[in-house]
Amino acid sequence: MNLKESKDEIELSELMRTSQAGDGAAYKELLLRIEKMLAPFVRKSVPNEAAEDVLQEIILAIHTKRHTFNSEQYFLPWCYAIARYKIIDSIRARTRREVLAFDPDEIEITADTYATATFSDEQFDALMASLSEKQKQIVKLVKLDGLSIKEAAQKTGLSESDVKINIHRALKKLKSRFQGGRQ
Amino acid sequence: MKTSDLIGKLSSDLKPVRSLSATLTRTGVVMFAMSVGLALSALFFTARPDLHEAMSERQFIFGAGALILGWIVESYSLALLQLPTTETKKFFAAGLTIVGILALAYLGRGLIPMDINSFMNGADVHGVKCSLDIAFLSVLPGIFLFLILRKGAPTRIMHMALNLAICCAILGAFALQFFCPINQPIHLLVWHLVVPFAGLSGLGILIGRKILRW
Repeated sequence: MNLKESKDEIELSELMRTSQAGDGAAYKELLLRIEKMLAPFVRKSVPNEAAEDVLQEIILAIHTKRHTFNSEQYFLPWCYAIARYKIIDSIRARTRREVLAFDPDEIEITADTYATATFSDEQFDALMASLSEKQKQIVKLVKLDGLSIKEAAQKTGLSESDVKINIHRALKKLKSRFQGGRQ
Repeated sequence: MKTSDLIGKLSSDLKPVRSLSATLTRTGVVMFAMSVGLALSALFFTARPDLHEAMSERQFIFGAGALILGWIVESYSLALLQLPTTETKKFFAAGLTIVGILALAYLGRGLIPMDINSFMNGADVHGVKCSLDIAFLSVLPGIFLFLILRKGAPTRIMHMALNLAICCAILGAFALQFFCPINQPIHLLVWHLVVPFAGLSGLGILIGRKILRW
């Protein structure tokens, strides 16, 4: 599955196009769905007491910049890029002291993450089938079961650097396979 | 106010909007605005006395060609950066590479044949006036560019600020070729490329990160 075939992508893009033409009902539905979709990511990224404010800032940003979406683009990456920008902005504004240790790349809110998160088991299996047995095992241990590199190395009998290399190659392969349908 | 109330309010008085134009059109607008800004700034300068002869020299043609090409690529990169999701690093890098090749060509021409006196003359500190001229020539195009780019939704502010500064510096360096009568490659390298590009990049990031935020 690629993003173009994602049900959400198709529906939300269509809603956005209709909204750009001035359809208030479609716009309301769009914003409600965006709220539902983004709320978990916002809560994960900012303290609970700030989540509602940040979510509203994102919705306002989407509203004021809705003219920057065009039909040649994907909606989900556009929407998540704005969300990510606003989350980072709010974190920077709220906790100046923490900014020093803050790495924006830690906030992995992209359409890819979203699309991956909504994969069915069959789609996930199909993606994993592109990996070698060794890569599959390591990705499962580290990325799905949550083992550390060291623990995964002990379990598989590989060196830690081998585990890292295999994860890197596996993720690269998964990413290119995932994006393959777009090109 | 609750989020659901906000959504209700936003959707109740919704007005139609027109999407931003295609990337190539936006690139054209960026280049046009910068050209207008440059033309206005250029009114404060007088053309170099040997312009006619200089324009037929290979160094001048190569320099102008590389800078124009770099400017077009950087303008395209800026137009892409207006949208939240677009990845533009390769275009930005391509523009910089073109300018880098020009810098290397100047360096090569300045070092071969190795003549320390001509090298020192080229790097003479009085050449700083050229860097200041480039900065001056970049101001109006930079302001016009900023006004245009504000219509977008850039999410990579630092990248955009740097790209904007480089784009202005390239255009300034291109224009100064028509006003500065010095042809020494080392002068062109140091005072038309390295110093103004470094200075404007720093300034661009410093100012851009504040004013480009939305």
